[in-house]
Amino acid sequence: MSDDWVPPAPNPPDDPLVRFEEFVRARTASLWHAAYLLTGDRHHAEDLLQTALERTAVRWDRLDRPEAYVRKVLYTQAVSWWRRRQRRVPEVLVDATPEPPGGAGEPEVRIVLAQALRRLTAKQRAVLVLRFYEDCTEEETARLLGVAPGTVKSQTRHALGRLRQLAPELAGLLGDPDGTPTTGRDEKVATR
Amino acid sequence: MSLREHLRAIAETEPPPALPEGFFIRSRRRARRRRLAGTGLLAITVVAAGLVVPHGGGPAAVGAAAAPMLSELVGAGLGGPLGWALLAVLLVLLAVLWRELPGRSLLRRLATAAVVGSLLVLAAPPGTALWGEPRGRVGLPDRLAAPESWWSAAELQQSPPGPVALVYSGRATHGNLEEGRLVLLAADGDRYRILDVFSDPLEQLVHEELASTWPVLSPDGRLLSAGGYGVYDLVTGTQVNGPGWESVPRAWSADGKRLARATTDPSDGSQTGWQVQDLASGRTLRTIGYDEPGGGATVALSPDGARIAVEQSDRIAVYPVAGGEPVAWPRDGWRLGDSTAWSPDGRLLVMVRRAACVGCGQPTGPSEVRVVDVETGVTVTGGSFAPLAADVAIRVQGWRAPDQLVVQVGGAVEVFTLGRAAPSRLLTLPAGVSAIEIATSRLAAPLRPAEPATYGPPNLFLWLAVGVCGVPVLLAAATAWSIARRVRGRARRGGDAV
Repeated sequence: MSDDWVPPAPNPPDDPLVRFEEFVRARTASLWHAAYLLTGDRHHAEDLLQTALERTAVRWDRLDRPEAYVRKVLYTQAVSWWRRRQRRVPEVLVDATPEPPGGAGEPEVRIVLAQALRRLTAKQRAVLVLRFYEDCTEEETARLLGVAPGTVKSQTRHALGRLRQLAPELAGLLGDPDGTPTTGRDEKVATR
Repeated sequence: MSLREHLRAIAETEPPPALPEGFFIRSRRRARRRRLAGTGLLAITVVAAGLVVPHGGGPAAVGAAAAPMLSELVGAGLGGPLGWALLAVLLVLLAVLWRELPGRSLLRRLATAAVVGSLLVLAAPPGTALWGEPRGRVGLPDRLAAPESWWSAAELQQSPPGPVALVYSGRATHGNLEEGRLVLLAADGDRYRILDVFSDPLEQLVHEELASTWPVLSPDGRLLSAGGYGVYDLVTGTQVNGPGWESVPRAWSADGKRLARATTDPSDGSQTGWQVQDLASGRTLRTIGYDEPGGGATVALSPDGARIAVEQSDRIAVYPVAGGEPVAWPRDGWRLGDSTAWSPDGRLLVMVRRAACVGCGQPTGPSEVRVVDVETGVTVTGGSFAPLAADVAIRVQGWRAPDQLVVQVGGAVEVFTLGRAAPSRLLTLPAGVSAIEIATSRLAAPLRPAEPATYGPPNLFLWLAVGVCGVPVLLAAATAWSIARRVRGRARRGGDAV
């Protein structure tokens, strides 16, 4: 995971409102990506992000590492039982999806992967996002979610297994059944 | 592309949202409001718990310690206007606290909270009036409650009714296990409570030849004497103890300041005479011994407590409580009209003649009631009444006016007016009710239309039944839900086989 946000100016302003707004401008995009991957739905992702930022705003004066706190709220709220009861993520089948910025990729794979992600449990999604998007170690993931590292390992294995089951065509992307997918940081993943 | 890159590409399909203006300030303001609402809710819960849970003198005693207007509001605990006010505040607070949930408008939340609150109130068992009971009514109801069963009514210890207007009992109130269940009616509203004792105190008069009689209620309806089960304060629901309350009061003065007790021989417990006691000071004012064996069971104090009329073998003797010789005259088989025989002006006494004890299986004849002069024992003009039906309970309730006395005659309460041979009906007792006693201070009250009866908060027996039956059902439902949830989760995870 990236290091926490640091105020850009050498002498950050004293006004908490100004500092908060600077933080939001700098980190919303990254936080939004995590929220969207966790929920798979724009509206729920907006709600999740807003909840996390609202809690951060309330505690702003007491936070040393605001970004870590926001992410922690994002992930814990995403997997909380109460919030999951409120949310019913629809399985939306689309024929095509807008081309992502940065040029053409593999749209069919992305669509299949996005749909398969929605069918995972909230905890499985959170573990996958933390391990393979945020690039967290098992220990970091366990700390963030408040579970044991062994649980992270088993959840990762279950999640990847479920993805293979839901989308066999992703097998190449997801790697071996023992949980070592092909990523840009294979060696890093394989050794952790 | 790697998994990470695909995830990034998925995340970037949706542009990030813009936060609304003033997000920071509004968030902190909302948090402050939530803290305030939570503190208010906690405070109200603590106050409500303090009012509901009886302690020491009970919720009524707590209320009485406050200013009179406040005590009027809180005296009934949650069973009054305070309950409605708390419910309204609670619902509003819940709606405010709830507004942080996503996807719900404030109006919908308030409407849902109002519906849930209404359902809670409506779901209370009929007549329990969980959130309010009638109060402040004047007069006796023209009809008494007669539900199918009294098992769910609150007991007086659980929910004291306050001063009562009357008590009644009979086959309709006695359950299989509650041999002597008494029903109490509050003096200021159609609030009913029960007292479960093994032996019905009101049934004493039915077998009056076999047992002595005593008044069950004090003149103001605040105290209830359940014979050997003690004396209950109907405002606090507790028993009255202490010096002077070791034995059953056998008669009260109309002002409630003096009472008469039986004196007994410590060696064998047999009655040896009577004693008049001043309640405020606890002093014994006069002791009257039996002249000879065979003294009667009934005694009556004058309205001001200055004289006491006692049955003595073949005569009625009226003693001055301050001392001195009695005025006596032969009773000729007549008996004092219970402890409430004295007229309000202290000049007349009610006498009754019951042929035999009711329900004992012995042949009986018609009963009679008459009014005599206290000094001479002679029937006053207009003091003779037509003979009453045979084999019915006769219980003199007291005087409704200087020339009107109230008597239970079988299944009805009648008013006997001096100068009229036949009585007029005051109240018809429900079927299965065979005994009633009206507090003497309420006899002059007018009749009013009866309102829907309330029976207090759910009986403890009801809660026990709900717990015994409901807890296993809840446990089974929770277990089934937990199993179903695990099965669904296992199905989604797909196991370890892949």
